[in-house]
Amino acid sequence: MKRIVLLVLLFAALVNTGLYAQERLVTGKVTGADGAGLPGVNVTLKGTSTGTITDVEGAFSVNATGSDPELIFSFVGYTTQSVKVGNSTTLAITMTEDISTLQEVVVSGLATNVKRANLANAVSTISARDLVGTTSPVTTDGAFQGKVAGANIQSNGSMPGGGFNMQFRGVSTLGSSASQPLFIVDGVYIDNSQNSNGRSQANKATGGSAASAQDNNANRLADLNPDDIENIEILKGASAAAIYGTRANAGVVIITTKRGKGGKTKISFGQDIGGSSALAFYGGADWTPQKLTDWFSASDIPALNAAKANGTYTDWEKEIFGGTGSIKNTRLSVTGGDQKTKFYINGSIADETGIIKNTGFQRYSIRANIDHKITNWLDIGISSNFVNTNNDRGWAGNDNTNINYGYSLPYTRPYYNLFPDAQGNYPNNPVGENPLAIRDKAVNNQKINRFFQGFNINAYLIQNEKTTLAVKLNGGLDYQNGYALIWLPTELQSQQGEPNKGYAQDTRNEVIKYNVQASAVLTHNAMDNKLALTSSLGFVQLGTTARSNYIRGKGLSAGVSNPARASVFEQDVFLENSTDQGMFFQQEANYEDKFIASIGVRFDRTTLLADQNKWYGFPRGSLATNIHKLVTLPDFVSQLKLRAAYGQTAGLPAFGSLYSPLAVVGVGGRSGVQPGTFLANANIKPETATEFEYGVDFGLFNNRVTAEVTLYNKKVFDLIQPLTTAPTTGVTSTNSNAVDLTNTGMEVSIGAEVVKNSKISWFVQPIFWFNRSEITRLEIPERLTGGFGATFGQWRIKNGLSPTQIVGQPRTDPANPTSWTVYGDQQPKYEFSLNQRITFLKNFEFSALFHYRHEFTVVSLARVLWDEGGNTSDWNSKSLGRGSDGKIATDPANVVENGIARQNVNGLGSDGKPAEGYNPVVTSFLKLREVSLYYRVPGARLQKIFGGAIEGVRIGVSGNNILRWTDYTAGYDPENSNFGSSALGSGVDIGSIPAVRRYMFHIAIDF
Amino acid sequence: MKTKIMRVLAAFVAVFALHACSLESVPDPNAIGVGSVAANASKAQLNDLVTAQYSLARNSLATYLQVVGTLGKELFNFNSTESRWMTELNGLRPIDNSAFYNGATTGFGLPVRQANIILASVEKTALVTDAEKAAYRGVANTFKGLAYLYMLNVQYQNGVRLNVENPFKPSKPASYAESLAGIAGFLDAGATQLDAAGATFPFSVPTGFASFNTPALFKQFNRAIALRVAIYQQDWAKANTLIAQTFINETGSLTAGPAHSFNPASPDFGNPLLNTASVTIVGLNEIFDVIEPGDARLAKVTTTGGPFNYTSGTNVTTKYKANLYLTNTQPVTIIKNEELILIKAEIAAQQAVPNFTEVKRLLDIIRVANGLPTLTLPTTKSQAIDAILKERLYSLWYEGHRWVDMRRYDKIAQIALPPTTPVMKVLVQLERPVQEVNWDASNP
Repeated sequence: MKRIVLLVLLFAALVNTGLYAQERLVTGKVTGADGAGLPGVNVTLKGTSTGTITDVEGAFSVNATGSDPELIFSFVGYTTQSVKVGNSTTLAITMTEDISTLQEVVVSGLATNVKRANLANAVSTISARDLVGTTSPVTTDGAFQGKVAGANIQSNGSMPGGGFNMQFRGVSTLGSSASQPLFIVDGVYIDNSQNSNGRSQANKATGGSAASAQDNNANRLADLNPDDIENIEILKGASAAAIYGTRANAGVVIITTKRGKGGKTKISFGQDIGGSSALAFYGGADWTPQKLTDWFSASDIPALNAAKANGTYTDWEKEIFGGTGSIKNTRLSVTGGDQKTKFYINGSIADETGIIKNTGFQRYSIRANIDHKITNWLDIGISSNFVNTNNDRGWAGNDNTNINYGYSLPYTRPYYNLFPDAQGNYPNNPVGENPLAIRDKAVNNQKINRFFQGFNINAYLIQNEKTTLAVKLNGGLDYQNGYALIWLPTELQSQQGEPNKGYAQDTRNEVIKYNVQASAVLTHNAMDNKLALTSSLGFVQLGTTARSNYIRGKGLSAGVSNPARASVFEQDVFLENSTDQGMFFQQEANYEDKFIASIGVRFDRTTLLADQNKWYGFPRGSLATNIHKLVTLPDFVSQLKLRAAYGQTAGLPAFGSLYSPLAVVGVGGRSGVQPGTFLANANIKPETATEFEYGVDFGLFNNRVTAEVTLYNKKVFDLIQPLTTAPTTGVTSTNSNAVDLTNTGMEVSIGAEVVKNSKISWFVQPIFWFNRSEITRLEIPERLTGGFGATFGQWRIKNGLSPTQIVGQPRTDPANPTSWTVYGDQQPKYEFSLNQRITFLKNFEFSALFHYRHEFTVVSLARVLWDEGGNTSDWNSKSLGRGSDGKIATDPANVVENGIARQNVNGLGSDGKPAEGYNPVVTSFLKLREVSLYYRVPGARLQKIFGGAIEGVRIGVSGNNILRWTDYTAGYDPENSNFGSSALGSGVDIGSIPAVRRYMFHIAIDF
Repeated sequence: MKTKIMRVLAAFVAVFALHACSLESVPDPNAIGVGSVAANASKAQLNDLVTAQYSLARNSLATYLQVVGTLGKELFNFNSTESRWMTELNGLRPIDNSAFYNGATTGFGLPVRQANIILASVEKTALVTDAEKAAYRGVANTFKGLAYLYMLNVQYQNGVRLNVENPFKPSKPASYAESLAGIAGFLDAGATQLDAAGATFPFSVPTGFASFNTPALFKQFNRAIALRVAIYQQDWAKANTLIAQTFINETGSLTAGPAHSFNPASPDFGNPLLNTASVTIVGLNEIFDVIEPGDARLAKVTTTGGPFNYTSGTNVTTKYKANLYLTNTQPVTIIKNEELILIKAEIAAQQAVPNFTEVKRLLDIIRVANGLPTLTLPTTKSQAIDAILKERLYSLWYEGHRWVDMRRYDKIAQIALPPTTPVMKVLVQLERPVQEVNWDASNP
């Protein structure tokens, strides 16, 4: 502690008020290649922190000091220029677009930044153009797919409103600590959890052996309007994220929203109109009297014949999933300001309906980002965002009462009659529930009111040629109030089968997260400005308070959806609170952009651990060398950088794992207390990750081709794993720090401007990555987790193997109860994406993003349901050549329909690949994630038509997931996941709905 | 300038100093902890624990009765969203030691643990009298024995772990005979403790135990469970002693006995044995087609809404749907007078010289009560046993006995199977759950 106080005093000691040298006012204009003024360009005086930015016309004025002043012009997306002022007082600068991203500024610490060209880590950045420039995503995380090397992003389903599972560089937790990265928006640590709403109790999905919640809700990043985002930086591993300490094991995603750039007030309006439809259907097998006689109930033959004769034979899958959704997004932004105050205001409405009637997602968002310079040494900024979202997520996924249409449709035969009669009564479905009645009457609605408030105050205490000292205070608040309603009306067939008919649950969630950070940053130029030193020191505090209440009512009068009016109740109140504190120190050094080194350390403590006052330390260090500045390289090599970084982070146990609570139970009018089956362990330490990352970046042909190649070795120690005890002891598990694992992988990103001339430019960006995980220490019994039992496949935690390995029946040695058949790994062998952007005829831009995922394992129960129901599209075919026991039939007479043969664990085929059956499958896919074509109306034409009233018009068409190629035949789409963001066990396909393609028309007008 | 810098820095240091103060720990805001009863538990705390012991006796009840009923082919669970009830449990697909139905074994771990927590708490408190201590112990040991017995019925020759006080050092599973003896030991200890527990319990009992609300009356329940153990052990002499200590009443209501109570309002829950939208419990044609005409026990099933077909994974049809439980609050008897009378008949048949008259007299009590003619006097022991097993089939239907009965008389092969292709198999026991296997593999 004393040492840190001393460092603070050191800052003070370094104060040097210095004398200003001769001053001269230089003015000028910065333009782009087309001659139009470029607003927002940074103009800095070399060797100092003095500078300004250009106004909306591209004009600037700056005080040039020193004997031979040199101005540096930099702007994201353009090549940085350095211009000696000489004797001139006016300058005309033309910036050229830089297709490489070397000049962009990337976060290097909690209070400091570094130019990408000097960065020692592979930090992925997603710009606004990458995020929303091609097509409008529903949610921010959805737009990450295929754009980030090292990220495995899985869409949990196709319901409007999103729901994604995002993992960087393999497995960083086995389920106890956060499996999802930490999201920070304008300095505010935001909540990205999935709120429970009781849907999996309504359809009894949480009755089986699977322990994880199956409400299938969206993760709350969905509340953030992607259109507000200026830039996203992704710290994928511990080496880059170390300064974030205990919350950073799964990576950190830093989101910066747009801010006012000053100058003339600019009004922009944008509108998307579009639709969505199913990518493919799954069922459709024909029904014949013979099929009924052979495998189902012959007593249905008259009904089948009647339906075929009178034309009521209906494809119920298309009846439910064959609809089209609508997309209507509107946004209006106003930005501007003057030298002292700048603002960005954006209001937007996103409104999508799903392919299924009565599903949809609406988000109403208003944001105001305001920056104000109080004096020349003190500025403040706030970022305020209110969001209201409304999500009808329908009924898909696992189920134990046939309520979910994803579960009842596989069994619903085309000759059943399900359409309501003239009085609106829905006929009973022999399967157990009428999917049309669920679609039309059941409610699964979630509403969120959310307020994000960020602030920053910067005091520049020292600003002179050699030294600057800034003290910064920033932080903010994420306040979230959610309201969810689940309603299964009394008249539903499934409710009529219950003792208390009708089900309603009203859930309220309140989540408050705050964080505050105070830091001091000292920069000092030494050795004749050859060495730039940056020291930062600070502390952070973050806290979470969450309350959730629900009342669940069963036994409702017809038409009543208020659970408080029911005859039988269940209710709960759940409280959560935790506080973390941290301190950090970091020293960065840059020797003439030749060697860039940095070391740092973070200390953290938290109430989530039994000893809340114990500090845990997380060191880091990195080094980058720009070889091209050291030695003379062949002409075509414009940049060559070698880099290496090391860091440590940690993951914390979830709230509640310190406690072994006694639960209250009731019996026969009495109440009592009993323990749970989980036993707390007070000796739990945080999970710690260490990562060593190294790589080479190079630019060729004047950076027309740039490449980033990264290798990493991320080791996670002391993973918190349930020590699975023998359950007949009454304890099923306790936490232990008994597992270590390693992730090794490679990430390659290349950007190449293949064609660049005045008529056409063609930019391609291939990204390739893979990750391998292996458990290197396991001091607890091996165990199976996730899924629905070994028949369909489960995740095996075993030493020496990948934690995402999937195993299942049959046993390779019938006498050995744990000799499972191995079905591959949930993690893909590799992923590859190809982004391209073609600009042609001056004003047209075409872009397309392909994403390929190679050979990963999916636990699918989707096909099991369709096969049992007799409706799989190839059910009637005998192409598998298998008998009713699932084995290859030696006698052709014993060959049965595929739909029967597959109702067995068929294990691995003779080719070593999983045979079609109950068992898991290995699959690959190629998706056209995003595609678009835009036309920018030429400025001259606008001038002619509208005078000066309209400055820019851009129109276009786009789509996402428009095309897909896959060998997956065990369900609608290999990306479906019943278990949401589980660290292990996501990627189970059951009761799913079709994958959806979205397409839309865009218009954007700048006034 | 310098003052400004010093002021801001002073503020910075001040915030830092505040920050360095210690963090407060966060106690569980949602519940009290298990540790709160570890030492000097109050009477109120022990009463809470013992009430939960009654509640936990219902743990896994539906899973157990439906799994054991399916294995014994007295009933099927036509579950519209889960075909493994019909395929894996009927030997049509490999049994899975990791599937949901292993709850029929593992669900009984928690009641055992609750009993052990009560026994340990009682040991470490000075706030209750010795008689009260004996009452808590007696009740805990009785329910512990009952939970173990269910577990053992499913695991059979795999045995059970008789010592799980330390969940991280459980004993290895004992043999079947040792397991039965161990369970008898828990029950006998409980009986002795109940004898020392005075005239009244220090707690109020749930409604289902209203007739067993004193140590003496509760002991009759304890002895009835011990009686089940004794006949599984084929210790007919002990059985003969025990039968008199139970609540057997040849002239009383056949359904009398301690019962699980239910209430759908939380924190209680509703009767889990009801048919629901997706769970249809059916009786097999092979059982109810051959019931004697006029047998009132046919009312345990209904043909309304039938026939009932199952077509996922296997094809089964039946006319009979379970009709035993119709309301959410309907109690479920744990052991009833009817079973005790049937056991008394079995004891008579198992004497060195079987007392056939006694067998007939006792079975006739059941038969006449159910509207059937009296029995022809059996003349061989095998006839007598068959007659007893038949009455047990109908009298104790959906109570988890058929499979165990046929197994203890080595008649598994005689269980009638529905006509399916391929033909179903009757498993003799379930596998040890995978977590149990893994534990022993890594803790040899």
